[in-house]
Amino acid sequence: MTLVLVVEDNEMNRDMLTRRLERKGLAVECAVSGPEGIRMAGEVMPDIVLMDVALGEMDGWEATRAIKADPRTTHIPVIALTAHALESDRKKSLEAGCSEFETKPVDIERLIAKIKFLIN
Amino acid sequence: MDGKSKLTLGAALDHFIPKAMLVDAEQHRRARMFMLSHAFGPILGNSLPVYLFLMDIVRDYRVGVFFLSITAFWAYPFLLRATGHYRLLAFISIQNLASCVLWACYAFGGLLSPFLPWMLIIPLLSFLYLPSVGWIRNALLAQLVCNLGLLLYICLGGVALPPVDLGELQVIGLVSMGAVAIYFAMMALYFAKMFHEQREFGRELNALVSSSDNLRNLTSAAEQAGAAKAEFIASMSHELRTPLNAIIGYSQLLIEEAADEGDIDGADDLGKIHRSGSNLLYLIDHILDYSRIEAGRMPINARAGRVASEHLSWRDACSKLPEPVELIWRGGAHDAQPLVTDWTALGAIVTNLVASLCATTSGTRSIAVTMHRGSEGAFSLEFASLGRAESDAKIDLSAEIFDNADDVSPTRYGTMGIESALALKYIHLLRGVIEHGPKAHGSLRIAFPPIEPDSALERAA
Repeated sequence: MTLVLVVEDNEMNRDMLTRRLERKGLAVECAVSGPEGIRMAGEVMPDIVLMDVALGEMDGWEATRAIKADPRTTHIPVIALTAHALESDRKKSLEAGCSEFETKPVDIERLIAKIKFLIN
Repeated sequence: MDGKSKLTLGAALDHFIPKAMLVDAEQHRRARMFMLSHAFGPILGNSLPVYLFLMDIVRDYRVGVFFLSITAFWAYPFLLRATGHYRLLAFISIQNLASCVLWACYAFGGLLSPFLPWMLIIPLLSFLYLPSVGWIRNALLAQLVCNLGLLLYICLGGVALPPVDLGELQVIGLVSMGAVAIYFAMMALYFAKMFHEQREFGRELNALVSSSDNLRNLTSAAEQAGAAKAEFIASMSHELRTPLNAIIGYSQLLIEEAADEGDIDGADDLGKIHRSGSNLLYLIDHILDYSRIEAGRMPINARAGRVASEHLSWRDACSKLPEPVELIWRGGAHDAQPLVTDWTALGAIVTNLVASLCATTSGTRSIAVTMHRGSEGAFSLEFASLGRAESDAKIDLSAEIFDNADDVSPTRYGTMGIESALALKYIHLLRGVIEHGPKAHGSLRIAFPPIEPDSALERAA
């Protein structure tokens, strides 16, 4: 079963995304902050990370850079989740090492298609 | 005769003044004074030798020399126009005046000459013609001292004075004093006028400085308000979207669960919540983007891409509009070539224009988009509705929106207003120009200039 690590500080968004992904047959682990996301990526070794970019003190781009800098987790693809589809956000995400970029509210079918594409 | 061609005294005087002096207010004022006294001074001055001659008081070479030395002043304007050497001519003119007075004193009674008071005019005119600074001031004072010394030498027995009947010169003495008085009065009036003008100028300058300060304060206040607005938008963007995302996401989740359980009525009601939330987010996104561009907080991030693949996401976005539209891509032969632009901004232009164009048509909700590539990265997009124009009035409304970007609001034009307005803001951000197409087909053409890759430009539309 595909394991997805959701890094999201908003409880409702985290719960909603977890339930929707689980309904699609994916296993989900959650982290509520950038540092916790980095730690859990090393511990649970997910197949993919869904990273909210607006995370408070350590933003999602910085957390992605840390995941990509760790040799153990560098291979894990990261999809950035942003509230708005700005070209600057997309550029920052790709520069930080994200493989993809998705806007919230997520289109679950499109997100699943991107997850499948990246882990395969 | 209009005001420009009308021959005024000022224009006549300026005709003789070198152009370089006309552009400097101080030099122009001095040159005007020089011209004025050389134009009218000889008329006043020659009243004296003419009186001597006509009244048969003196009719020999002394009157002739006196007359010629005064008349010589009329040559100075022409010499000034011919040579442009104002300062040199001013020194010569002052010496001419001193020589004139010295001659009149020598020829008509020495220290008792009725023309001696004219000596007072020399320093007055000297510092009217020339500035009282540095070597010029020293040269003028030296010139004055030399002439006074020469006067004393002549009058105190240095040379033999020609015989003259001072009794016959009493009347001319009065005339001479009168002429001096008139001359001084003219100078005084001129100075009074200058003083008044300078005071008015000072008042206007103070008013301008005050207005400038007010403008600076207003600009500063506007900048602070703009920064506060941008900060508000940034924070509101997150605060508004987060709960809306939850509403939309949970409603979608519940729709899926209801569908799984076969609760069709429940799924239908949840669908309405989901659509309403999505429409509200769509509107909020547009308003926030519009405000962000207006506040100059929307950066341009250009990158190379291919229209052939990018247009797929535009088509997807158009299919998910509150009122879905079918985007039919009619790319040209050059579509496979990379194009440098801000693809997110271009996508927003396409989806918003498609949405607003569809509002002007009926019958079908299909919009065809054609790309034309220009030279050096320039390109244009042409949008054509495949439906028939709903009515001329609505097309006119659309044209009005595009022509008056600053006067649009959702309140006035409905959803079409904000879509068109946002499209225009994005078009201006990319420095594009809207060209209206054939009215009957509700089409539009937008031309975009080249954009440098990775441009860090931030512009307010």
